[in-house]
Amino acid sequence: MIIPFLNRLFRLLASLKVAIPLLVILAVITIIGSLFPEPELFKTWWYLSLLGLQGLSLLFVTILHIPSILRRKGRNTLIGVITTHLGILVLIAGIIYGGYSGFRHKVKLIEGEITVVADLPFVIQLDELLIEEYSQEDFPGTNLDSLPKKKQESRITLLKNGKQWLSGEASPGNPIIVDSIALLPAISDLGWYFELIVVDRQGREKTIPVRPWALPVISVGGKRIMTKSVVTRDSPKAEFFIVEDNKIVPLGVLSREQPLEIEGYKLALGQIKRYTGIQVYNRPQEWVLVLGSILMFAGLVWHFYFRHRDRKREERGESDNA
Amino acid sequence: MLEQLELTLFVSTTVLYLVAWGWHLRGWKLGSAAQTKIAIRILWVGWVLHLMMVGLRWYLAEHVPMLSAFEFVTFFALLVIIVFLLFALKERNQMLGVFLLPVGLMLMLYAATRPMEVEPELPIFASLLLKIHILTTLVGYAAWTVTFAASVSFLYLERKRQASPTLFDQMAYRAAFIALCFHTLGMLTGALWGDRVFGQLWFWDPKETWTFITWLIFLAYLHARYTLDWRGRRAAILAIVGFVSLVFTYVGVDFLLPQIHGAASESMMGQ
Repeated sequence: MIIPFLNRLFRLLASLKVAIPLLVILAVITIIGSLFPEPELFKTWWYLSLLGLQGLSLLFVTILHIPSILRRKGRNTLIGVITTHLGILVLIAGIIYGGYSGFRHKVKLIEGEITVVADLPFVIQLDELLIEEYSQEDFPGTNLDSLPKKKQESRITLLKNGKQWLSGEASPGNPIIVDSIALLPAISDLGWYFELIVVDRQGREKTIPVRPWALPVISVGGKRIMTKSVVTRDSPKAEFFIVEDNKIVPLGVLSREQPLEIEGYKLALGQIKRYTGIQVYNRPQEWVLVLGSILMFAGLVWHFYFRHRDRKREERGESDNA
Repeated sequence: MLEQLELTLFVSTTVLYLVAWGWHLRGWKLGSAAQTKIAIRILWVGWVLHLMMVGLRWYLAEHVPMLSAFEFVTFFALLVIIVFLLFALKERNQMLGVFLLPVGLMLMLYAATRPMEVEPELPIFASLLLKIHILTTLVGYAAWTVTFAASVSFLYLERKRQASPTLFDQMAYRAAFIALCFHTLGMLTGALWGDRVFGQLWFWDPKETWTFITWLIFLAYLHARYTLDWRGRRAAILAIVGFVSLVFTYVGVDFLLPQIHGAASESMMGQ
């Protein structure tokens, strides 16, 4: 019962009448998916299933054609064909596996502070953040805010059981990789973390930490105000505003040199530190992808080399016979 | 001063390519090998000037001249033209040039519309992996262009019922194989570079998605030839469809899906 069914399924998926329409359907869905700004479609179970089905079909087509390839095109061609298809299958398997395993966290590291991240056997301390900006002379006519920084280096120490374990430098393009876990700073995800010191009308002082990635709403004299840091070259400032009728109404700017008063409340900047956003992730399928890529490329090169060589030999043989 | 020299070299190269193509067309129409030979010589001169321009660009930019749109397209044209010149050394049938040279010429004209200023290399671009990605992609593109030109040549000769269209059919197939190898390598190295810089191998942004679609079309082309024994006309049409997809991947995506691509880039930059 099961064997004939599996046999029929194998024959069906191994048929080019199924494989090629499947390839066309995959291409059409991919084209439609490319028209949407958020490529969520490519992460859906049915798209991944379609990709898996395509891989299975590819495997079966190859298996079914082994005898004819061997007969018509020889052993070397067969090795190339099998290696290439095996590589593609490994890649598809890696992509599907990767969709369901591993972890990825996006966190902010504040200079001089320790950050605890779930799933990690260590904690992260950002020792120093070295930033260098481009000048307009480097890129005339370009909005510098749209460019990555000239230098964006995070000096990081990893601590285990409260003791220093490893130190290193990470920047976009050069992650710290330790035990298959990568710590990668995000391009231009930089800003100021600051403490806001509020003195009310009675002279009572309160310190409020302001994390730009989680903007606080502060009650000041009956008004619910919001604040955010402004990243300007080496001159940290905080902007204050309220939201009225879905519109942002600015209340003023606070800096070291320029204190601010709202509704009789005196505002001042406390401790200021830089922060950087980083991605912390592990990807257990990485070696699978590398293996798949090597197999696929090696198979293609092998196939091309031997096909070309065999064809030349055939041509020489034909001309010799003539 | 040197920027002016670069511009002069660029204009001279483009003009020489245009003249060479005209001459080549004339030689082909008249069936004159002597005229075609002159066209090839003009093309060689143009290509040497082109090479000098790329070398000068390298010197001026202090990085591999393949990063900006202008640099990428001119390098692409450099490869397309040298592929034809090398082919011309070997083959007597030079019809390929009739359809291949205009692609090189169009690339130069397209490059002329791109900003030519030399810009510093961004730190994220200072990676050997990225250079390999761009170079392999370009070689793949150049080889696909040969497949395209050979397929068009085949269709033309078949329609005119002239001799030796199978030469172009075979040429298209061989070039497609080289192209697939490099296109694949380009995709893989690009994914690995993306992983190093953005922490993700694949983003499904329009450029990547269309690269994948083009890859699927060429995969279908090679499989149709290999397992279904597609030859000649049907294979040539599929190759042309693949090339149109390739052009769309490089040019169309930028122009027709600007907001989408912009949004994808933004999501790469921040979190």
